[in-house]
Amino acid sequence: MDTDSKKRFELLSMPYLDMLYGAALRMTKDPAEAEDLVQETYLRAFGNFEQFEEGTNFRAWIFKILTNCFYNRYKHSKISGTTVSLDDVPEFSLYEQAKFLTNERGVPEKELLKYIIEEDISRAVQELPDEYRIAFVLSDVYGFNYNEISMIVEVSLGTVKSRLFRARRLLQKSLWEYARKHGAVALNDDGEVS
Amino acid sequence: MDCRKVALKIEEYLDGDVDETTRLAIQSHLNSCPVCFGRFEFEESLRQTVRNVVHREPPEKLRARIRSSINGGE
Repeated sequence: MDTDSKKRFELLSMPYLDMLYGAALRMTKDPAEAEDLVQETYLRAFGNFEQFEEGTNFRAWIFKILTNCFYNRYKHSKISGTTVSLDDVPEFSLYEQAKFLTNERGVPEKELLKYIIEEDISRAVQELPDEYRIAFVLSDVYGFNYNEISMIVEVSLGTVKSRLFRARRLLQKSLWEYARKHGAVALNDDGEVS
Repeated sequence: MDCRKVALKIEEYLDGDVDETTRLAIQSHLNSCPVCFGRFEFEESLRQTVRNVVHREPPEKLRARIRSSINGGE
């Protein structure tokens, strides 16, 4: 590759290093693995840079390479079914729980967020099934829209929406459980507020 | 738009996945309904909290390694 192309690749790609590493860390759940995955992503992107169409979405293009590297590296199939069925995903809203607390105790809804500590958020995200976690991180952490996620992960828009919906329900349910453990609310053995 | 519909659409609204008419209808409802605005604020704060926690900066050595790979043409 000539010097100009190298320079152009560097200018286009380096601003996304932070995001790529952040996403890789959530994919692999391990800092050393995340570094390797990002390194591999850059090498592949660099090697295939001629295939990138100038003026199109570079951020989505390089994230697609990251996701492909992740799936290849960990022998996952993008079309494999998730281990969580629709029936396993609760109709759960953290806000509804917080509102209930407001009515019962007069505690403002947003107070509930104070009971959710960083470690719990990290754990709750890590516990999401791969397909849900990837869609969730791309959307809620790095701001990709449904179309971009659909392109990156190579699934339909409907599947993207469904994964996001389920990921958020599962995450909020976990966060509620953690908030309960940290004393946001005490429940008796029947699951009622005591 | 009523409160029930706003509650159903609030995630898509935050995702920026509603058409212009729906976006304006939700915005207008949020401006006049403190209950739904509370829901909106809560969901937005939750996302912000999660976003701040989930993102992690890469180690500086990774940046240097990648720059070196690109410029070395490896």
